[in-house]
Amino acid sequence: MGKNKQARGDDRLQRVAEALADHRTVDWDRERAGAGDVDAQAGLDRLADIARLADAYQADWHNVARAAQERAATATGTTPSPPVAAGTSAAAPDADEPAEDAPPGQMPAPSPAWHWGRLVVHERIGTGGFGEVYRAYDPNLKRDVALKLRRAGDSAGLEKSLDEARNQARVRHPNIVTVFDCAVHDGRAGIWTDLIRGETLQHCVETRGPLSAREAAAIGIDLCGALAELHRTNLVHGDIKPANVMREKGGRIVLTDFGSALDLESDADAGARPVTALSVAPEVLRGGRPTAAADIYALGGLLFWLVTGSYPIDTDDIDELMTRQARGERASLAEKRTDVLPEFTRAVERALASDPAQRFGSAGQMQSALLASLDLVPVPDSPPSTPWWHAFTRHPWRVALGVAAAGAAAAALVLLPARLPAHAEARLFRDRSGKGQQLADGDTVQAFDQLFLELKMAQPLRVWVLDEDNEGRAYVLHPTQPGAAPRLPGKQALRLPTGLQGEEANWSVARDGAAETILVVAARQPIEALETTLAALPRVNSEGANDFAAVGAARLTRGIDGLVSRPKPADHAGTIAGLIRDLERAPGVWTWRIHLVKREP
Amino acid sequence: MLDGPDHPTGGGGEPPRPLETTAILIIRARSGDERAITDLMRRFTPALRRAAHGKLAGRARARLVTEDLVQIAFTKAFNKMNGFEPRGPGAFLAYLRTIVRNLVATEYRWADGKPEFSVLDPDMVDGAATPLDGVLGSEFEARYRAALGRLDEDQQIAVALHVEWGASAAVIMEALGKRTRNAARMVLSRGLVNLAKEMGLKNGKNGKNGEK
Repeated sequence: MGKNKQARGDDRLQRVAEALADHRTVDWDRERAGAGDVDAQAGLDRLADIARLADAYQADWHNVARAAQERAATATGTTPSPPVAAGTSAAAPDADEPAEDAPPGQMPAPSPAWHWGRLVVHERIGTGGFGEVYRAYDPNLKRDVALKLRRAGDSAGLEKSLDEARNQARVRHPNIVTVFDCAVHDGRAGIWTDLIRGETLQHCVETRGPLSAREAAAIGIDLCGALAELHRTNLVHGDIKPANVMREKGGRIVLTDFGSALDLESDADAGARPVTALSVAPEVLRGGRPTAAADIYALGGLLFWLVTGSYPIDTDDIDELMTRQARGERASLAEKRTDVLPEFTRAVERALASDPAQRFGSAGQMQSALLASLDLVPVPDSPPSTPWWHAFTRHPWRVALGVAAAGAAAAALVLLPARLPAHAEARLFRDRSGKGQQLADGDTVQAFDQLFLELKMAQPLRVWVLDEDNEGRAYVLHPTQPGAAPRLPGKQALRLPTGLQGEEANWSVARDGAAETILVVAARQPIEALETTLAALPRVNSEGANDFAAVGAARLTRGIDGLVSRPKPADHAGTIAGLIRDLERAPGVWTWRIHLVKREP
Repeated sequence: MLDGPDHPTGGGGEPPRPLETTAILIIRARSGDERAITDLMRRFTPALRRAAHGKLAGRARARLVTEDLVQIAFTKAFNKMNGFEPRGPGAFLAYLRTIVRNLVATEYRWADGKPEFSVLDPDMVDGAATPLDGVLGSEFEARYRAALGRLDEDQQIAVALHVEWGASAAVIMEALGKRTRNAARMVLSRGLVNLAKEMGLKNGKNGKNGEK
């Protein structure tokens, strides 16, 4: 019996050793449980020790290469970015700085390392209410990772960590930190993610002061893309704040820390999640369930903080915060920063609306507003003879912004800036004696104002323009003829509408109605659902051209509702809104929505 | 050194190569025998080159091929042989690893226009803190080193390349002169089992082939 037992133990040892030889992962707990024999268990323990030693040697190789590379970067004058963990709520900018006084040729002494599961854990780089974040090395992946470890003894946290990892793993987006795995060892739950080498936005602003509106808008555009992807998968982040957004060396913006994320389809304990009060939407602070609109509110608060260094309501007293929220008493961005672009201010203020219904309907809408606030084209430093799309290819930053307008489908192009950006831009103008005054979301117009649209597209696209008033009546402004929308040429500035003979024209604002929303859709391919819907709507020139006397003789004017019978409040209103929302997410489709408020002339 | 009659042989499979080969080559090389040095380099350079290949990155790799790195390591090793007491192929490979490790560290500087090979001395490594210190401590590593020295030569080479160099079966196959990866894999897995058993013994004298 003894010999058989020993033989079985040896077989087990041999099998495990073969797994190690093949660099396969071994489930040590299971092997030990199956060993039975004390000697076999001792042998397994030694094999486990050898495996850990091998991991440590590999970590050492990795460590020496990494440290030397950083030291070389210092020697050549570049600034080696300290690694800061994804998912930490505290930046640790100096945690991994190589020792300045290390003798030439000698390695700076690394921090003592220890094991957690298969990971070799190095220095702590962040802390938070959940526990700690470490820089660690994963020998399987052969790379440094950020390990977020819950505190020991936090039994309730085990399931939360797994939830957090599962939620995070559902989303893949260049502006969302990538999760690699999660596990429980030694009574501690941990998640390990991409190690972002950079700094949190909180650290950035606290050390170097508020950002310009352009920088903040660029960050907001990236975060809108991340939120759009999150919301598409029925997740809300729940804790958008400067400490949870990293700016990686190289400029990539990365949303981290999904510890407060909520699965809208399954979670029910939304109220119990730890969040940061100052960035929480009023309805959530009052006990409501977090929604996508709450994320948009928090993003508005983050952008406000980035350009001012404070929150719209800055108080340590939660009761005061709620009271002031209820009264709408918050600081005005326009007053705190008089130098920021009005379009940016409007976008932030709208995101911060107390009523969720008054905020942007989606992260994509907010992204469009922020893009418009940047006024990307024409590029100021481009020679007049340079086509505008060339300017985009010469400025990668602008390429990234331009491509961001296309949403998730264009994300890959951000990574391939050498390709012609799939960019399209639509801007609405009020014609003032031949000069265009750009209109932004929320601007006021009055009856008889003359409007036109400017389009700039990197490639030929089909374009549809709709007008919908506050009573749900909708018109097709373009194309003016029923049937499939023709392709409009790319790589040149286009103006809509065109006159009957192709000459310049305008749309004229009608007298009735309190508000108008101009919707623009551009797409590479025909959109059957849109065409079908529009076929039932009146078109502005269906009864001929309008010729308001106020318009110059050289221009032909079309009324937004000028020549057609005012339709009844349409059954199409909900359909159109839903259609546009769907189109916002479709690849190869661009949408813009500009809401205009009317006032009496 | 491979001096104990009790060291595990690893059992069946291909017949082990003569125990003295690498050990004797090391001793001869230490005394300045250029032919021994050449033989050692011929035996280990291809495998170590492959093992070291992944340790260089980016510009450094472009500036210095891994073959050069291994050759420099050999040169440094033999220049310092008088200060090195070889205890077998495993110890020799560990010594080479230490040198290559430091070359990797300095190579990044060199690649950035600051050649600093001259300031590097393999002996300096002994005092340098590494993650190994924090993980298991010197006592464990000493036990590992001692147990490794009691394995047969092929197993020493296979285990040292696997544990310390992160080498694949293909690399080990090359170093051992085996015809198939599976043969190398068997030497390695048996070496790991024997190493585990040896590490459970006190000074290797508590029994035979790992039996307690």
